[in-house]
Amino acid sequence: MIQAFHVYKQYDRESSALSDITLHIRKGEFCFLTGPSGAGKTTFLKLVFREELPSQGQILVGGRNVTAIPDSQIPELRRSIGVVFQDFKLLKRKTILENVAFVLRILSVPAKEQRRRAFAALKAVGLHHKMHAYPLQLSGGEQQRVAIARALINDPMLLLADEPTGNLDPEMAQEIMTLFQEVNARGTTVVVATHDREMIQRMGKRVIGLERGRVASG
Amino acid sequence: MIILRALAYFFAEASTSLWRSRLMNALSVGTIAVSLFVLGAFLTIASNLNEVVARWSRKVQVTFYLTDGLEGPVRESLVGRLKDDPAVESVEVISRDQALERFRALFRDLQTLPDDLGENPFPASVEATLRPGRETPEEVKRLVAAFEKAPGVEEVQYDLLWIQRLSTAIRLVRGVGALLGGILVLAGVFTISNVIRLTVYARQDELDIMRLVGATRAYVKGPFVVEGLIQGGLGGLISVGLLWAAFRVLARDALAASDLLGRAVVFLPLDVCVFIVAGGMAVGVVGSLLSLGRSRV
Ligand SMILES: Nc1ncnc2c1ncn2[C@@H]1O[C@H](COP(=O)(O)OP(=O)(O)OP(=O)(O)O)[C@@H](O)[C@H]1O
Ligand SMILES: [Mg+2]
Repeated sequence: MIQAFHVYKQYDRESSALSDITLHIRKGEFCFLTGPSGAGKTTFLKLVFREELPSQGQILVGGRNVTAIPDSQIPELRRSIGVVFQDFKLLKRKTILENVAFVLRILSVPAKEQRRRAFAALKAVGLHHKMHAYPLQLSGGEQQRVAIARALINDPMLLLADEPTGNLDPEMAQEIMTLFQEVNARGTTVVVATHDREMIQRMGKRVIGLERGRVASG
Repeated sequence: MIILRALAYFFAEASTSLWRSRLMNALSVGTIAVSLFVLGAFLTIASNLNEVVARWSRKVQVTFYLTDGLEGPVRESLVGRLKDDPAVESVEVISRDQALERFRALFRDLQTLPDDLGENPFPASVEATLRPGRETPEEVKRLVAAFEKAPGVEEVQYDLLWIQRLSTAIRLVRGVGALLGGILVLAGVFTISNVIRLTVYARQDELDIMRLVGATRAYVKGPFVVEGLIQGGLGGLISVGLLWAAFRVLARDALAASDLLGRAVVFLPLDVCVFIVAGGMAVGVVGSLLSLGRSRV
């Protein structure tokens, strides 16, 4: 699903966020991306859904070279990938139901179906009772779950979750992991960036370790 | 269907956004309304003057006022010679009584003036209408030169120069209107584009998020373009409304003068009104596209 070949990323001239990353994540896999803060986890995910371009190297996602696709194909790529952003990235002027439904809205799904599916997605993360609230009226953990609901609503082929449990208590974190496993069982490739060692151990999945921008293990 | 859904979304987003910062948007709408009002006012004036010219130049006439108490034969010979002139299409004799009647019909307010004067002050006249195609200043001058010394002719009057002056005036009014209107329309584009740019800045985070979850550029821009469209359209409607109001007020005063010209003053035709509103919309769309072009969407 994700193939990276000698990928480098430099935001500025002095330091590089990623150096010579070569890895392969297979279709249907569930794996963790870990490493200390600043190791380059978020940067790697950004390259996958083309928020950033690598300074060098190639990345293939679902067989498509995302470093070479024209701008006009970026929306299509992003629609096939569900992303849980580390900073949630919710639309603060819209209710959480509208936030989740937005993914369907840009696909011109009928309004009724948007609402039905958005409600179901919020229910899966236990927030359906707050669907008319605005993001800033929710706690950090609740906002994170809205971000998760949005990432999952359109059955993406690939789920990229950046610290999806960082603001959650252990029980809720476990529930979310179970949800991800269900999604994975239905065929979605799942990549979770985290430094929660305990959770990684409990899950017993493949772990890719990054350290100062390089693949250290996995 | 998909396009309709997208449009419905654009309009919903645009109206929410317009309402959210209504003061700022009133500024754009106002600027556009004022500029289109000025443009429309000039258009109205020009089209009224045009109406007058069309009316007058349809018949280029030279009027020969006759000496008082002119006997039949002299008059007949004058009429005959005029009729023989190659440039003249028709000749009409206006008696003193007919002249008085005309005056009364034209100036109803002054109905009693001739009676107050005691006797009919109008001279009899002969009106020569020029053939179409020969209504040039040269022909008129030639005709005047040929007949102004003729026996029985007291005075000659012709309106060609007047028409020429009026035509020049119309061209001037149109030119000034186009220039002023053009400048103001540019100001409208500028205002709308800046107001929309402020909105874009204020909502940049949201727009980035929309892009990150897979919205196309067009989808993110759509609501802003519709915002410009609505602002411009509203401005256009308001300006047409203002023009109509101003026209109603001024037309009453102009009515007396327009009697002189033979008909009531006219408002802009419907298609020009539609054009003004559509122009407003175009200004709005151009304004918002300009601001989006310079922003990071
Ligand atoms: N937009 C940016 N501009 C400049 N430098 C950046 C930018 N984003 C990240 N970096 C740098 O790249 C390096 C990797 O950052 P990245 O966010 O990928 O780390 P991370 O592994 O996600 O860390 P964390 O666990 O804290 O989220 C860091 O040194 C960071 O300073
Ligand atoms: Mg990170």
